[in-house]
Amino acid sequence: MLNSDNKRWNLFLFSAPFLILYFLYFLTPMVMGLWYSFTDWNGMDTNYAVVGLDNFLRCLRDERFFQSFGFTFRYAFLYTVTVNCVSLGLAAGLSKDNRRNRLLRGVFFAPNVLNLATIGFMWQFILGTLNIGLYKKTGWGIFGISWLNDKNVVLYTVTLVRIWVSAGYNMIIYIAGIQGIDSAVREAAVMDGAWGMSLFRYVTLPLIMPALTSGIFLSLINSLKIFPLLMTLTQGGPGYYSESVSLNIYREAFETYRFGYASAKAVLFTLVILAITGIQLGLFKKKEDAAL
Amino acid sequence: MRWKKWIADACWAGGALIFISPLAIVVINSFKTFQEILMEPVGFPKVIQWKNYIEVYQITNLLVVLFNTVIIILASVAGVVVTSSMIGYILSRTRGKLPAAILMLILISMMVPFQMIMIPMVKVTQILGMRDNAFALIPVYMGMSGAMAVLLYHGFTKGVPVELEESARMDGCCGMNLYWRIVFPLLKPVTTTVIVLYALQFWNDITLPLVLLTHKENTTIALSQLIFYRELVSSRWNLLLAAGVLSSIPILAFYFVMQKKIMAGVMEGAVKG
Repeated sequence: MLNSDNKRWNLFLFSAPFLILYFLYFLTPMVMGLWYSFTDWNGMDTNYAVVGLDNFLRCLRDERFFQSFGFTFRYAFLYTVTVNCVSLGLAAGLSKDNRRNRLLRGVFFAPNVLNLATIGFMWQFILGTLNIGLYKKTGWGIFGISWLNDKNVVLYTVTLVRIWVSAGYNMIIYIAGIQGIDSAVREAAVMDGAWGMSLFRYVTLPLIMPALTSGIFLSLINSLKIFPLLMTLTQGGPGYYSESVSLNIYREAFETYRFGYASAKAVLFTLVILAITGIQLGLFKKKEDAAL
Repeated sequence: MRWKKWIADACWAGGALIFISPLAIVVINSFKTFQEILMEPVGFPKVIQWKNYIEVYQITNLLVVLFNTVIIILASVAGVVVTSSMIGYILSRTRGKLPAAILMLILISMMVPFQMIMIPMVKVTQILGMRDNAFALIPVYMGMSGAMAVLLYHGFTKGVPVELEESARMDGCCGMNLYWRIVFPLLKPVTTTVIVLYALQFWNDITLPLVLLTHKENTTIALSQLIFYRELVSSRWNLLLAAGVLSSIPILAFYFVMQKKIMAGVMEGAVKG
């Protein structure tokens, strides 16, 4: 009897510190956000009215909001595909543990530790000021591209910069996957005459499928939330062509102070993210079931 | 065969150089005058302008901000380790529906985007009298971003044998005492992972300080970059680049020393998280 009382007490004692903070700084704001989405609160007045579904109906007519979803989805797709190809290639080349590879891994991972706002303006400098300078000097076409101000190019610019930042991160995940492969399997395949590309395609790739799936979804979810990089790289420009959903919501809240409306947008955005996460969890579950 | 290896090495070296060149370009340009940057962005500075760095140091309270940021990160990371490890451990050691339900509740925060809680967070911290206080970030970080650590500790505890705890209990050691003396040292591998991953995350986080801190005297290193950018981008590129380089030095030094641990942490985090 005493023992089971003790267990309950311990569960309470060990959980309480985290749960109190979690309640205060996650659950409460989340529920409040849901509530605000049904109001017309402007962030300052103490009085506000409940407007029902008005905010959500307004979202459906908000072209700029749709535009931001369009940019975010196109970016997320393009980024997820390309960054995983690049990092898989890097991982395949650098998976052996030796001094050269450790050094190269260190170099390719380095941008990950830098601040995204800093990276944003560093690249704005390179693709703007420096790019113009290089064009004046060389006259080469590649420097004539207006990376940040051409609405047809900016999507690729953002993707490129983000790949530069994160390719090293996924590379590490895939190296872990490749190193986890039983060396006997590889040796057997080599004995059977597999090498180079065919070894990679038919032996390595299928065996790192779990790492690949988690890497792909990690980059997909992260890219859907893209935000700080854009604040200094493009500021959503030109026009609103590179405004992501997250940036759109932030601006709605803290530049126009429509807290109620911004909350409704945030709710919709959350539902989209949850749906995609749900699909991911479903896929994983199926995979596990199939493996059993 | 030899020359093949040389070509491969040369290709990798070239690739790595191109990859890292943007950083070098920024460092080089941070030593030019503003005129020089506009007229001659390509090439080396005629005279090395140390005064860019001196001016950045003078117009900002960089040391104060750096000090605040370090305190915030140390306290937040320590807080995450303490609170998340305790709950992760107990949820993993207690059977029944309640612990499972609590774990599910915590995992919600890993899926919900920050934008959802961003707006009410302003209100919550106002009510608690914490707005515009840089150190208020500490409990907020512990609450809203601890879930990943809880999950890591929860998973790791499963693999730690119970026998040790049972024999300690026989000797009369129990509760918190037992946890901090016997169990917590056994969780060291995952603690290391949590420390490096969260230190990096908190160092680079802009979104929470952006929402909670409105005075520019009261900021973190990450947020200060955005403030600099807004003030300097059109007029003082030289200072902006110098500020970017200066603020990146501490984290790059940390990376240089902790590289192995950071990469191991990323591997761990991706597999378990």
